[in-house]
Amino acid sequence: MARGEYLGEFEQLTLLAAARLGDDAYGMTIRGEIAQRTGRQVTIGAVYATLDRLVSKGLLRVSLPDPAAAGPQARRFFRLTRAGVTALERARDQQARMWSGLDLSRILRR
Amino acid sequence: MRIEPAPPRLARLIARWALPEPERSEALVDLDAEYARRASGAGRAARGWYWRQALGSVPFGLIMRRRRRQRASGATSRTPITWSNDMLGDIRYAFRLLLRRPGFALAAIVTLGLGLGTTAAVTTVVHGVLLRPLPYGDPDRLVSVRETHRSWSSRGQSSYPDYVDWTRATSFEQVAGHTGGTVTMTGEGAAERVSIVEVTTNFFDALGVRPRIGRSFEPEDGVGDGPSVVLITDAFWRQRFGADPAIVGRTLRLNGQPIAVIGVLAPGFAFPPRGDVPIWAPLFPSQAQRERRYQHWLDVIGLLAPGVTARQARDELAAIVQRAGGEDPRWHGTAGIAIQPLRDMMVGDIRPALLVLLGATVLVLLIAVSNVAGLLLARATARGREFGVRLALGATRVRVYRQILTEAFVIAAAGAAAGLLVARGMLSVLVAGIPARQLAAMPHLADLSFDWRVVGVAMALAALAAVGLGAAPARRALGAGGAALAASARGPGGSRRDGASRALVLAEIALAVVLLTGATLLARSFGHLMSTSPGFEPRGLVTFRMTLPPQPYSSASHVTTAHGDLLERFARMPGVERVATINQLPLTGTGNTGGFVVAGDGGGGDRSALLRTISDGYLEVQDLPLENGRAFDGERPESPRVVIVNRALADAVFPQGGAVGERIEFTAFLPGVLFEIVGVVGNEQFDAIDSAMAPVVYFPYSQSPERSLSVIARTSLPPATVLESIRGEVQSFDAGLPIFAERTMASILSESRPVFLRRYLAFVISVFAATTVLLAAVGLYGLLAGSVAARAREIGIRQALGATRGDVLRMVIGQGFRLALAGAALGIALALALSRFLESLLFGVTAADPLTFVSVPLLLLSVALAACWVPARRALDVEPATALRME
Repeated sequence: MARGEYLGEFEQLTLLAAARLGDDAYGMTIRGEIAQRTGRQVTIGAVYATLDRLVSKGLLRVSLPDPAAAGPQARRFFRLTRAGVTALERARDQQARMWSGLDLSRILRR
Repeated sequence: MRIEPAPPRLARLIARWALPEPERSEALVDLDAEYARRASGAGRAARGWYWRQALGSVPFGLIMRRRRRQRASGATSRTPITWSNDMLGDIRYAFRLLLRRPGFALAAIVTLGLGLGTTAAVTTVVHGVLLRPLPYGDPDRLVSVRETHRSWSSRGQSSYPDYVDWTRATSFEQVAGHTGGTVTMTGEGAAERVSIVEVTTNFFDALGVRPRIGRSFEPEDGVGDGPSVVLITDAFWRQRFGADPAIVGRTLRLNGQPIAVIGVLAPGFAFPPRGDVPIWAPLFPSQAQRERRYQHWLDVIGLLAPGVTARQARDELAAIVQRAGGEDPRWHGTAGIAIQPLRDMMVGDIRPALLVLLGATVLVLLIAVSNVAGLLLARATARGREFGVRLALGATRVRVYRQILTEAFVIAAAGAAAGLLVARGMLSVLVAGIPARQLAAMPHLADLSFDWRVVGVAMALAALAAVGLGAAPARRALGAGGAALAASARGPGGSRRDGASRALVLAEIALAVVLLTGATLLARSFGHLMSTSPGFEPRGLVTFRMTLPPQPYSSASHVTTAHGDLLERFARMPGVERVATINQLPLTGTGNTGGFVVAGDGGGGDRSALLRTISDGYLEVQDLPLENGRAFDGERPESPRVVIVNRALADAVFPQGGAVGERIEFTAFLPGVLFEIVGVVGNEQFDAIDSAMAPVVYFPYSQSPERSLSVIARTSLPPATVLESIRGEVQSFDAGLPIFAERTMASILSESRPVFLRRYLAFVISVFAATTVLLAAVGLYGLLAGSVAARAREIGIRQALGATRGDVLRMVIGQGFRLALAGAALGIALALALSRFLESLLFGVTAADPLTFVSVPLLLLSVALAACWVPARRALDVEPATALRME
């Protein structure tokens, strides 16, 4: 967050999915995690494009594939960097502060 | 190992194309695995999922590629402006715009798809029938050779002695003959009557066709008493012999004789003049056929020697025929030769129909393109403000121009894709509308498949359309230029904004008038044709053919007795009201003609007539009126020979009346035998329904029995029921007697080429015309609706200044109606100029049929009026106060 950027919504979802999956975080599992938990239709292309951006922002680290391996073993796994963890925490805190003391039902009642 | 279900191929290709490496290889592996998991449950849902993944990934793939390029070139956040970057951007922007206005996009794409698809389908048919080379060795040198006669109508067949003379001509590499026949095939199950083609042994060499298995005919196969070998078609080989690879040497029992199969013709082999015939045998003319120059029965084709023209070949053969005329002046004195390319002979009468179809298609495409151009124009006008802002903010004109062209291109590409779907469907509909009999008689139509070259044509058309579609809106947007910004702030003015749109709508109306005129003329021709009486009532007539073989019906009296017994049995059957036989059926256009002279009419000249042999009772079955004299009634074979003639013959030969009692002589084939005319009957049509009634001579069956004949029965029961019980009756009479070619007279009529061609064209072009009328109406509606919206302020002012509702209505409707009038006038002029190309297909109406030329424009004007009505009503709803506040 060196440049003071904020996380987009889908970036946030992607980081969270990667965090939940731990050692098993790669394109397809992240897609599955988001789709399953949010019920949203997520395309693999969207996930990859976001992963790509998050890596370039330094929020995710890519484990380079084993060059000797082929097929599924050749895929890249993603892991949160320290900056990634910080970004998520910051996003959560910001949200929490925005939510605190807010009762939406009051708006409707008026 | 279990085979995993494969994802949809096209979707997988898209996914592969969409994503860059390294994501590509990962994603494909994982997507396939996930697909396999999902497909094990509900397959369809899995396909949908895969498609969404593939298509949904496309834009992200583009984004990733672009970002990586930027990173690689060290660029920061500003994008260096490159052509390809802008292209992608333009395309994405165009997609987004189209998705934001799905109604507009759908209208444009469907319209364009209809136009392009129709064009592609019809082009495929025309290409297949008229342009694709015939599937023979050297199709350009193949010709049909026909003998023509000045004094009587002839189907151009030649006699065997003539054919033998021609084989010596030096203009030809090969001259070959073919003729059709039927044989009784026995062996498995009931006796079966099958069609065969008898050909001279060099026939396949002339065509340049080799069998796929076995050998072709050799000259020795044509020597002996009768055929001992046959070639069979691929279809027959599969169906009858289960595609037995050891087919060569197996036998078929034909007419009681074992005949060896020596080969199987290639799967694609077809010879349309003979239709779809399974067995091909060497030709064995009878002794009489070998000797008689006046018996014309053999169809002849030739392979021209290299470098020889059809004219040279014709001159050589004509000289040969003239020389033969010295020997036999009765026939050859008036003979001539006609040579035409084999293809022309096959498609001669379809060509005008196909060209008309193609012309109609071009009109449909033009209207579709004008319609989409109109839509784009309207949009460009509506977006004038957007373009004005962009230009004002420093966008170059080239940049804006490219953006508009890209949009047009995206629409054209989507239209082309939709067109492919339309073309596929339309092609099968076009071919399905053709009866099997007609299909077999036209080259290539049966196996017409989607041609990828046609896809190329569609794509090229789409690209052209894109440029054409984009150009006008682009000019409008740029022409409006900076002014658009200023103008749009006040709302678009109404003066010159829609000159191009008006021209497009006017053109659409004119083209719709042309198509509707053509459709009406053809429909009226078809109606006339259907109300043309063939001289008898075809409904309720069931027909079939049968042949009494030499065993056991060895003599003429055997044949006559069996004929009489069979007719008696048929007549007793329930549901059969009347029954009779004739050697060749009406409306089929086949059968003999013969030349005759009137006895005592010294030098009255040759006459010719169709020759038909009928049983007693035939006139009653057909309900032909007996106008003079008597019908046949049990004529005895040994009594003096008698004939009945038809009205056409009586009028032509005995114009002053009194045909009954006259005697005629058939000088060519029965010299010295006089036939007394005992009756004159009404005309019936033996040829195509659109031909003139020809002179006919009827002979009584008892005096000239034939083995091969058509039974014709009038019944009130369903044809299938009657034919079923007749088949049983024949079986119980003689189990070895096959009946074949079962048809109703109504189907003979409706499947005949003149009826079928006009019905088909009238139908297809009516569908085209309806589509174009709709498109033109939508175009007019769109123009007026846009104009009313744009002129809301003006209308408001007019109303404020005291214009009545009637004035407003008149103004809006008048604007549309004037345009429609101009379009209709232009359409009439175009239709008058073009309708003469229809002339050969018209029947009972002229190309300038007044009724058509009055009613079609009237119909179109009323449609136009309806299209004007809605926008006009909307103009009435303009609130003067609101309109003025728009300022």
